[in-house]
This record gives sequence, structure tokens and C-alpha cells, in this order.
Amino acid sequence: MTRDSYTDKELWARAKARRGDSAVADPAGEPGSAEDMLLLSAYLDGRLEKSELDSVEGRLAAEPELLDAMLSARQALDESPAPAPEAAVARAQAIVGAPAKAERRSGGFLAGWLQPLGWAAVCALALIVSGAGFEIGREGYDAVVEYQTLMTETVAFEMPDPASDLIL
Amino acid sequence: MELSSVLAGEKRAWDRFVADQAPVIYAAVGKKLRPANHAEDVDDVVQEVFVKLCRHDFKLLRGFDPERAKLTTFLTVVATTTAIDHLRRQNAQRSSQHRNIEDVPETALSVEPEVRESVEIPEGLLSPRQALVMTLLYDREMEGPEAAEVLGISAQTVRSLHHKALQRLRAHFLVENEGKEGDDSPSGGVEHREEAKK
Repeated sequence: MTRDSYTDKELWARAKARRGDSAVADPAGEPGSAEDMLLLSAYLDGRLEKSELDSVEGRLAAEPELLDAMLSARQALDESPAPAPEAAVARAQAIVGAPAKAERRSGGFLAGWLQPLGWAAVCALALIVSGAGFEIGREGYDAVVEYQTLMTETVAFEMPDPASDLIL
Repeated sequence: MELSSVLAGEKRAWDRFVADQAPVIYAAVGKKLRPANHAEDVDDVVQEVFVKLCRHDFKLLRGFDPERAKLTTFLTVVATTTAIDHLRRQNAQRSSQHRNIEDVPETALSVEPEVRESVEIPEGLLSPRQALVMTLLYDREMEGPEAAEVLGISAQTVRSLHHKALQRLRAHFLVENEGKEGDDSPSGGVEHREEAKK
């Protein structure tokens, strides 16, 4: 094999330079979809049919991001699994909540609206109670003042004159 | 471990799934991030992987098919692509912070990610596997045996694919050059013709 010779490398560089001559239908797609991930996994596990294999290898040659992902995943698969820290495991387990929480979440739209409405109702009730309390308090005070004034006048009217007693 | 229980949203099944698969995901993320000096991000990216798996009612995990691949392989691919995305985001963030080239220290410039060129060779000129062999040998600068290992084929087959690919490319450019009046090849037009005739 003469892969180090300049002409071979130049030839490949020239083939790649052709890229500008023809339209690129799907430029360098990123391997983000579930389908791509499953396809790459099947490729790495050697479970692709011939036609699929051609298609994936064609994409690997044309899409650097997909090739990066495949090469990195292959390297990772060669490594033995590393024990994960307990804190990291616990944190990941907490992503999916307990059933009660899950049910509340499953309320979705309704639960999302009912909670603020509940708080608004509580606030409105508190305002009504405090307003009514203030009004009752104010009216009560006026009544007491009125009563006290009346009583003072009555007492003053009915009180006997001490001088008249002395005359008698 | 029953994946169907996880997909049904059973908390205990999810806990067991996380405990069983965390080592696989942790290893894959660490393998990608540690050499890139992002070891401190490993825990966060592992969480991102698990979030990705259960997001939108486990959409990604539902896409897994045990008939097509092993679960560990699928999770390794998900973890690896998540780690690659994380590194890209970090690099993009760093680039935007140092938009003024004069502010960028020389050391930071030297670790900028390599920009990979997409390959679009003329339709049907090379078989997909030939194109992939050429990509691995020239763009990724792999040795023959290394490329053979990646492709799961023998080194002899890689040599053969490489040789045939070169022959086809030479023949293609020879025809193209003959179609033109002059030889616009900078260094090797004659050499290519001679080699192609062999």
C-alpha cells in the first residue's frame, strides 16, 4: 500500500474538492435522532443487512459528525464499564418521580392551571375577610361612640341637683 | 430488567434501570470528556443522558429495538453523542466569548476543534465502503490495521479496497483531464495517466 505517497493523498483531496461541483442534498447531518442512534448501534453490533450497511457506510464517509460518533462509541465499547458514583446514580433516579408525583404531573394542563387559581382564591378570600373585618370593626366603633355619647347625655339629664337636696 | 416497566413509568423499574446502566453511560461519557479536559462535566452530562432518555415520555428509549442492537451499545451511542454535543456547545460558547481574535490567547487558539470537511465524491465513483476506507486512511490518518478493526474486516481487505478506490479515482480524473484541453493538475497529470494505465 502506498498511502504515504503524495499522489494518493492528492488524489483523495481532489475527489473531496469535487464537493463544490454538485449539490449536497443533506450536508453533514448530526446523529441526534433515535433512528440514527439505533442505526449506529446496529452497525456497531454488526446487525445490518447489506443494503443498510452500504447506506450507513456511505453516510459515515460523507458525514464527519456521524463518523465521530461511531468512532467514539466504538472506543467506549472497548472499555469496561466504570462504576458510577452513588450520588450521580441517586440524582439520575430522582429524574423520574414517585408515583404520586407522576400522577400529579400527569394532570398536565389542568393541574398547571388549577394551582395558580387555588392560590388566587386564597388571596381573594383573605382580602374579603380582612375588608369585612375592617368594616365591621369601623361600624362597631361608631356604634360604641354613639352609644357612649347617648349614655353620657342621659346620665347628665337624670342626675339630681345636689343643691336641691340640701334645700329639702 | 424489563424495559417495558421502565417505559410504563414505574419508579422502581426506572431506579433499577439507572443502577444497572449508569456504569455504561458513565464510562462512555468519561471516555469522551476526560481526554478533552472536561472531567468536571462528566456528572452533569451523565444526568443529561438520563434526562434525554426519559424526556417526552421516554421517546428516545422507545426508539430502541432489542432486535436491532444491544441495549448497552444503544446507550453507549446515546451517551457518546450527548458528550460530543456538550463539547461542541462548550467550544461554541468559548468561541463566542472570544469573538475578537486579538483577545484570544495563542494557547486557546491551538486547542480549537478541528473543522472536518464533508466529503462528496462523484456519485457512484466509489462504493460506500471504499469511500469510508479512504476517509479513515486519509482524513482520520489511521493505519490499515486500525481501519480494518473499525470496519470489522481484515487488513488485507482494507488494502484491496484502498487500491481499488485509488484506481477508480485515477481513472476518473484521467478521463476528466482528457476532456479538457490543457492539464490543470498542479503536479501529477502525467504521473496519474501513467499509473492509471498500469
